[in-house]
Amino acid sequence: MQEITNFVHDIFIMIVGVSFIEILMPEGNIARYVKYVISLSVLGTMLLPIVKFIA
Amino acid sequence: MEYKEIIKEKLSELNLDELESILNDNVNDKELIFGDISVENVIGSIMSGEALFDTREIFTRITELFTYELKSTLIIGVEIIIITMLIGLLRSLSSSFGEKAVSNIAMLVSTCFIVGLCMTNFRVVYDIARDSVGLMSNTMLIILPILIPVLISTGGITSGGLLSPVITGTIAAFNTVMSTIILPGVFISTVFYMVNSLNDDSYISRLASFIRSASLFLCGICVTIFGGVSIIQGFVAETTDGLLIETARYSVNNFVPIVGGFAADSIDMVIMCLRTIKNGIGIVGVLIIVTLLIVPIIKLIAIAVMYKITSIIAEPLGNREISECLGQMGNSVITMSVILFLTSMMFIIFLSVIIGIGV
Repeated sequence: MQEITNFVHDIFIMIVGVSFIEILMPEGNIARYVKYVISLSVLGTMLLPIVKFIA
Repeated sequence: MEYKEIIKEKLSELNLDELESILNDNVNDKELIFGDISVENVIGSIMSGEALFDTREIFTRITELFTYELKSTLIIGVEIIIITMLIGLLRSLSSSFGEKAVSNIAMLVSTCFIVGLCMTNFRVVYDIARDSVGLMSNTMLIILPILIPVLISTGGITSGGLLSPVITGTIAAFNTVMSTIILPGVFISTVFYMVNSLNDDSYISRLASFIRSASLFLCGICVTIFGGVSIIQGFVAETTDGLLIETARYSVNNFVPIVGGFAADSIDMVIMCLRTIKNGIGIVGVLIIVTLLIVPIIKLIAIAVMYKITSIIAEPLGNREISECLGQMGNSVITMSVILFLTSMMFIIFLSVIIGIGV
């Protein structure tokens, strides 16, 4: 139960943070790369319980 | 001895205190949907062939309750609409602020505020659903120890012996599954839907919809399996009980000289009287479960209607994400009420299996 709460908590914080970062991001060419990195980190947060489960 | 006297005597031997206290706490006092019900009233109207309750009155009461709940959810709906209008204003005025990021941040903060309001409200919905599932299981666990001995005394020895552990175990298991997996699952999916609306791109909407449909599927499959098992047990046990009671009657009739015939007939009569009591208690149980279902489900449906209307209003104000998120909130509340409905349906199946034995 504690793991599930942590998982939901992590994802919540992640998405809220990502929303703010995307707004504050500077316009231009670099924005697309930053967005890709952000997507990867969201994916990482979502897959973290599976990694923990296997390890 | 007349049959009414037998029923009255047998009824006075039963300990109905806990059932009456549930009736007074949850059914008769608060909402009065079925009027004043008690075990004596129900058995009295079964014997005299009267209708148990006035259908038209029930509809009026339900409508009154629904309008009352709709009015009380109106406040949060109005709050959400006002914030949505502010966001629309910010969006159209954003060019005059110079820098775009400022108005974007303001919009995001307003959206966070809406999410906060919705989550607080959904917490209430979650508590309503969890409490009423718990209350329904507790009611079943109080009704069963009253109903099973009466069932056994009507000759249902095998069915009583088989059904009691099956139903009690099922209720305990179902309550655990409900409060640890299904309801938190719906809650988590709603959190994900809400937080997803903060962002233009959807990161976790698939995950949220997967969790919600998985919870609903689990609930459906639990009801099917548990209900099916108890129905099959009931059918199997009923056949054996019929055999047993016919044998007893036949032996009294034929092996006891002279008075055997009278004795066999009076056995029949006493058993019939006990069956009336059993069915009366069973019907009271069904009425309690239905009342425990109707009151929260009306609340939930009022909240869901409020969310749907708010999402309809938010759409022309030019905010697609918020409108979609409010629509998803409505869907989540409806999912909660579906889960409640399935739970109560399973409990009603249990009660009707017991009522149906040996009619």
